[in-house]
Amino acid sequence: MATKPKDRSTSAQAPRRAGRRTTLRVPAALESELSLTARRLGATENEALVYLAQVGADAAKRRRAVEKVTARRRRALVGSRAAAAEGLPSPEEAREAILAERR
Amino acid sequence: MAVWDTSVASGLHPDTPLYELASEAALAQEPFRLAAPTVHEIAFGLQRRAEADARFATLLRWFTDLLDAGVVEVLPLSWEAALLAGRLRASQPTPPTGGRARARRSRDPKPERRVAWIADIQIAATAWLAGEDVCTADRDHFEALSDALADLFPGEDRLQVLPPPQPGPS
Repeated sequence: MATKPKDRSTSAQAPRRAGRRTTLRVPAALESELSLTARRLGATENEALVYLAQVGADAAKRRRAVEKVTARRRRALVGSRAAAAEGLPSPEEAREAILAERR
Repeated sequence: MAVWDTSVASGLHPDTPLYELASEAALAQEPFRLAAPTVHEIAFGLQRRAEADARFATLLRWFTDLLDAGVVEVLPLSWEAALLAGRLRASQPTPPTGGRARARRSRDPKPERRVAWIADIQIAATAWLAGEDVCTADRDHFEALSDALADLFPGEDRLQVLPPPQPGPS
């Protein structure tokens, strides 16, 4: 359970909510953020944990959406095989094209 | 491995010894490096010719594949490099006109040359922050930037400016 047994200072009642019940261990690294969030929300640590999970889930959803877009745009930039039929310019022509603005 | 500036990297082409040198270095797990602004300059130079001459589109495709395969490593323009580049540009707003004297700056360079100068500043900043030397044929530009870096950070090692690599006979 998320609520630390020795710390009952948070007296707010958790609202009943629908959904699957579960038991989990809270990583030590999360403890301070969990306590802080519970105090700021005026909620129990269980409620704060659900809140933080929701924040994390939203962030993960956003990240997946961004990854999808960046992968698609990278494919458009790097993956296109449209023009490949012609020969190549000579090395001198290529160098001239690239360095034209430096002349 | 040193960072190749645009004057050097513009020689990357399937038919040049420079490409063989880059490939061998990559196979040895020590790829040569380009700074992101060099990639910009190469892509710009090839793309603007590509509509009129499809051979340049093919070469741009080849260059894209080269980057995607990691044959050369690209150093991104980080925020630190951008910060440094801005400071360098303030101290050296225009490129040197020749020789090594940093006081000899061209007063009114063509806009295109200013763009190239800003690219050189970003390349120098990127290379220096990565602890790398720069290989260049534009020695005057990078010597001036090495001086400017030394002025800004007198306690740090200078940016070393090296001549273009000389590939051996293939």
